[in-house]
Order: sequence, then C-alpha cells, then structure tokens
Amino acid sequence: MAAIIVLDDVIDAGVVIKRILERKGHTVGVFTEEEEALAHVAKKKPQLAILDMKLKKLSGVEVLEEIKKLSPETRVIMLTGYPTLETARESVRLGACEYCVKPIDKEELERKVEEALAGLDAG
Amino acid sequence: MIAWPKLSRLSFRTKINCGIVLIVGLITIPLAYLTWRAAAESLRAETRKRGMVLSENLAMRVSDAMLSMDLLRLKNMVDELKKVDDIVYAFILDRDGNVLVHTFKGGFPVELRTVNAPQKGAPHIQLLDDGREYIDDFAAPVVIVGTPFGTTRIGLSRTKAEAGADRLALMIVFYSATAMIAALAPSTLFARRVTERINRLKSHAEEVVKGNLDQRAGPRALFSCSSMLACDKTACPAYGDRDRRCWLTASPDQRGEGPESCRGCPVYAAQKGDEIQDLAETFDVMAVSLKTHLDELRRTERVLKRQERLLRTILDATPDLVCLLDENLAYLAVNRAFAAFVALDPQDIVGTTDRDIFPADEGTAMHDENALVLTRSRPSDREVSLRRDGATVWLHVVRVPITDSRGKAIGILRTARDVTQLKQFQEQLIQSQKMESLGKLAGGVAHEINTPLGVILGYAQLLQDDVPTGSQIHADLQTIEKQAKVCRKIVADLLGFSRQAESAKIEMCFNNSLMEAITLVRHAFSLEHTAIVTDLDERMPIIYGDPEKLKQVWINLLANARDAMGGGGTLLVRSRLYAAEQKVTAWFADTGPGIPAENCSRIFDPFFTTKPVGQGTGLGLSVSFGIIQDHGGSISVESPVPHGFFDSVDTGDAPGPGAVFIVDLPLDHEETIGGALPAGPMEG
Repeated sequence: MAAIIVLDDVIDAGVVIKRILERKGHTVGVFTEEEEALAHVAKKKPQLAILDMKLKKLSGVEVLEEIKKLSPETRVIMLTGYPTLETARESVRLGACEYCVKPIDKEELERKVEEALAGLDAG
Repeated sequence: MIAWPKLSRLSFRTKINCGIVLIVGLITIPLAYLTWRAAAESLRAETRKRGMVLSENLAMRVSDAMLSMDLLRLKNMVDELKKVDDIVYAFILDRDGNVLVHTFKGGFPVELRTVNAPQKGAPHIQLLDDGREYIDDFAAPVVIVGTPFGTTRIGLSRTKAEAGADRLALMIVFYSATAMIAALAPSTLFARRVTERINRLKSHAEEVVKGNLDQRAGPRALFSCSSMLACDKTACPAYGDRDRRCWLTASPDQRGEGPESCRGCPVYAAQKGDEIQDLAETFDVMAVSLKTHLDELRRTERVLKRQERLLRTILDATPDLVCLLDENLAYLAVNRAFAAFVALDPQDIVGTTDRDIFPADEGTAMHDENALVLTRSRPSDREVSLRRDGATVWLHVVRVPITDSRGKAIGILRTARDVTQLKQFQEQLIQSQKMESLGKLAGGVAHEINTPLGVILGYAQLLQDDVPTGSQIHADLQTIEKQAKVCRKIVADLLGFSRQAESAKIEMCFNNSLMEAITLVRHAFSLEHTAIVTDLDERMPIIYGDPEKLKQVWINLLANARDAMGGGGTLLVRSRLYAAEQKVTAWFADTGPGIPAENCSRIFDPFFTTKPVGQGTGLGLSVSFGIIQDHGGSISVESPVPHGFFDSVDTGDAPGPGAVFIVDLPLDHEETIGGALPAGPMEG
C-alpha cells in the first residue's frame, strides 16, 4: 500500500479523501498548509499527492511544480472545482497524471488513485 | 348733341396746334375788328368832311351861275361832281326849293327834295337809305350877299366809303391767316418732335411693363464721364457707362447731392439735355435699377426655391416621422415618412389633429402631451409604444416648442424615430449582460460550492459502506448521495452556463452533429410517440465549433420540444446554409401547445422553467444560449410556428400552434481559428 498526501485548503475536503483512501489500506496525510505539505514531501517522498487547485497561498500548479522538483517520483492527481483548459494543460505539462473535477465520486477517486499507483508501479 | 372729344384725350400735337390757332386767332380777330372799326370811323369822318367841303364848294361856285340862271353851267358843275366815284348824286335847289339841275338819269326822285335842308344857314348832313345803300346827304346853302339864294345837295355813298375799310379788315384777316399757317408749320414740327420723344418714352415704358428692361430710352452719350475726366475709379457704377448719365448712376459718394452738385462739371455741361431727355435718362436708370432688383429677386427666389426643395428632400428622405403643429395643435406640415406611417396623403393630414388621425387612446395621449409641451414651452423627449398590425412599434418622440420673437410658443416641431430595432437590440444587450453577470455569479458559486459538495458526497458514499445494505440508514445515505449528485449536476450546468469551461473547437459537419444528437434520442422519443423529421441542407455545411457542446445544445432543444409536446407529436429539424451571409441556420420546430408571448423573452433566462418543480433546473436553455453565443451565433424562439413551416411534413392531425427554436451559427471563424486548442483531458 502507498503513502499519500492530500493538500486542500478546506480540511474537511482533505479528511474525506483520507477516510476513503485509508479504507483501501493507504497511509494518508492531510495538509492545509503548502509549506507543511512540501516539507513532508521533501522528507517522506510519498508515492502520491492529491492537490487542490485552489490553496491558501499558492495555486495547485505551483505546488505541483515544487513537488516535482522535491520528489520527481511522486505521482500527482489534481483536483479542482473550477476546471479551465489552461490549468489542465499546465498540470499535464508539469507531470500531473490526473486532472479531476470536484466533487469527485468515491468510486472514481478510488479508481484514479489505483490507476495512478499502478502507473507508478509500471513506471 | 355733338359729342365733343374730351380735351384731355386730344393728342399733344393737336393741343399745341389748337393753342397756336387760338393764340393767333385771339390776337388777330380783335385787332382786325378794331382796325376795321377805326378805319371805318375815320373814313366816315373824312367822307363827311369831304362832303361838306364839296357841298360848300359847290354852293360857292354856283352863286354866279344862279344869279345869271345859267342852267347849263350849273348842270356842268353837278355832272362834273358826279364823275367822282363815290358821289351818288348832286343837285341844286332854288330859294323856293325847286330843282334847277340834277344828276339823276331816270328822273328826279321828288321825295329827295325835302328830306334834307341847311340848318340856320349852315350845311347839314342827313343819312339816307335808298334801299340799296346808305347815302350821306349834304345840304349847303347858296348865299349871295347875305341872302339865301338856294341849296346845293350832294349824296355821298357811305357804303362805297366803308368798302375800303372792309377791304382793309379783310387784308388784316388775310395776313393773319397767312401768319397763322406760317406759325402752324414750325409748331407742328416742334410738336411732332416732342410727341415723337414722348411716344418713344411711352413705347419704352410699355416694353418695361412687358418685362423688357434692356431697352434704352435716352440717347447714347458720345463719351463716358470717365473718358472725359480721365477718371480711374473703376468701382464707380458710372465708370465707362455711355448709356446712362453719371449724375444719375454714380455711387452716392461720387455724385454728392445729385445733378445739383454737377452744375460745374464739363460732363454735365456736355451731356445735360432737356426735360424729356432727363426724363428718359431717369427712366433708363429706373429700368436698370429695376432690372438689378428683379435679377436679385429672381436669384433670391431661385436660392429660396432650391433651399426649399433641398429641405423638402431632406425631410422626405429621412425615415424619421417629422411634423409641424400650430398653436392649436393642428398639423401645418408633415413629411413623407409621417404620411406613410399614418397611411394618409400629406394634404389630407394638414389641418387635422392627432385625435383625427390616430386611434382614440393614442391620439388623446399624444394630444395631451403636445398641449403640455406647448403650455410649458419646454421640449419633451420620450419613448412610446404603439400597436401596428399586431406588432409593437417603439417610437422615440421628440417635441420641440417653436417660439416667436417674443418667446411665445406658436407651435411644435415633432420628430419620431422608429426605435423598435434599437429596443430589440437593447433587450438583447440587457439579456446578454444579465447572462454575463449571472454567469460570473454562477461560476463563483459553483467554484465555492464544489468543495463542500464533495465533502457531503464523499461522506455519504463512505458511510454507505459502514451500514448494512437495505437498512434505513443506508437508504437515507443513498438519498443524501442522490441529492448531492443533483446539486453537482446543477453546479456543472452552472459552470457550463458561465462558459468558464473552455471550448474545444474544430472543423465539423453541421448536419452530422445534428444527426448524432437525433440518432441518440430518436428511439427514446419514439417510445413517447414523438417522431423526429429531418430536412437538412444537402450541401453539408462545415462549421467551426465544439462538437460535444453543440451536441448538448441539440439534445437540449430536442428534449425541450419533446417535453413541450407531452403527449407526443412531430418534431421537425431543418437546416439551411446561407452562403452569402456566411451562416447556417437550424430550426427545431414542434407541434406542441406553443409558448405564450410573455414567456418568449424569458425562456433563455437562467432558472426560468415552466416544468413542475424537480423536473427541470431551468438551466438547459440558458446553457444552450451560452454555448451558441460562445460560437458567435444566436438562438431565438418563435411561437406559434410560422405559417407553412410544416407544409412538407406529415404532422398527423390538428397540430398545435407549436414553437420553433432558430439557431444561427456563423461559418466564418477567422477570429477563433487562431485560438484553437486541442481538446485537453477534461473528463469530469
């Protein structure tokens, strides 16, 4: 099973993802602060990061860029309540493997996470 | 009665001649009479004196012969006297009054013997009338040594003596007549010359009356004043003018007090004529100034006419309804557009009021507004809507009060412009602005609500795993999940409506896009007795658009039509390519009950729905509107369906009035092609 971090400015949104993924046996860390999340990534290098597009100080794309610098192996799923083509393209360019629109279904989330981790395994 | 010609009607020449005759006559006739009288008098006196002398002389000479009674001598003496022309007779009487000798040839008239006699020893004269002539009879006494011895009688013819005086008078008359005739010739010549000039003036005046102002009545000068005086004032009207005299034509500053100030001028001295020439020259100047004034008037008239025509053309060419009302609010003038609007002849409108030519309610309202503008004397500016042929016509009416020089309102100029189209544009603009702001709002709301919605959905799904399937809690959680998903759909629709999601436009076949949507729903529709009939343009128009989004629009419109028909019916989808206008149009017509007119304008408003609560979000048409706008097109609705729209289609029996949605999409995509983006991974 994998180590996953969730970064969302709304703690409840992160917690519900953590609850869903923990049932699947993953270890999930929930963050609302970008610095804490990045420090965690730098130290623990988790397999997967689920990032909200709208954060407290930075945008999800900026955090994605940082994570890819700190831990290129970490897979990233972007989540947004406000999809735009620019952010989608930018995310893909920076190496996000998924770009999902909120609110996401439990099944869909589980599937996307599995796919992302499978890609990691394959990679 | 003799009809004497009126003196004033006589010709000038006759008058002058009459005058001459009268003058000569008045001088000569009394002169002749007086001369004749004076001559006759002096002749008579002369005759008497002569008769006296002759008779006394005879009396003295006969004394000898009487003494001696020498009758022969006496006879010779009287016969001698008889030789004198005017002596009619002579005879001698003796102291007893017996005739001694006489000169009568046919015997002595005895009564003559006693008619005259010397008075107191002195000769006596007696006038006799023998029936043929007057005779002065002279009786002188023959005295010898103081004793009367007889009487000598001599008869002198007064008539013969007076004949001389008559001859004299006749001669005077003859010479006077000759002088008169001699005077008439030059007077006639003079009168003719004067009348000729007057006649020329007259004919010239007649020409002027006829309008010929170019003729000259006065003589042409040999030299112009400027050449005589070597004057270089070329601006002077008299400069170089030989037709008119400088003292009449020179500019006021040149001529001073007119002719009076010219007395010493050589030009005046050389060219000044008599009164008739003055008159003719003044006449010429008058004709020229008249001509100048007339030319100026004609020019002004032409300018005025042209301006009037121009103004009329402008007024008639303008599509605005222009009219002029007087102080009683009756029409003074209207332009062609106004006359066409009220479908009347402009002449028939003049004099009427708004109440006469407009329907009762409109006319009264307009009349009251006119009256208000007139009494307040302030312009008014308002938009009014009128019903014409079942359609609403919006007019922007401007009323401007017209005031006289004292500021009193004497009428109104009213212009009305048809702003129906502008109103429609305004409504469209308002609609799209409403859409835009609602879109922004919806986008913001969607953005904010997605996170909490995700939490609710997540927990609802999560908790379902914790409770046994079939339990009440599981069912409750399913309800929460279902309603959360409804919310998610609304938010997704809102996002679509706000067009925050980018389009992925490609070149695509318009007909294929329509057919894809139709194929998708055709089976489901047929179950609800709704038949879809297509009539697509065979030229297969290619547009530039987002296939997914357009398909969403088509499905939206199709579903709307099906829902509208309820119990089933016919749905006609038609497409046409307008190459000239670079657009393609699609119609989605149904045979349903149609859309009430008041809903037609609101049907694209977000959250506007006529469907029962829970069946429609009211976003479908708004989203469609947004998508079509995003493609640079337009979408509109018409209800009922235009007559004949379903003609080529079998719609079964008694179709309803129906509604038709019309979608216009441009073919031209020059602007959007540069921003074309490949479809991104945007699965939701």
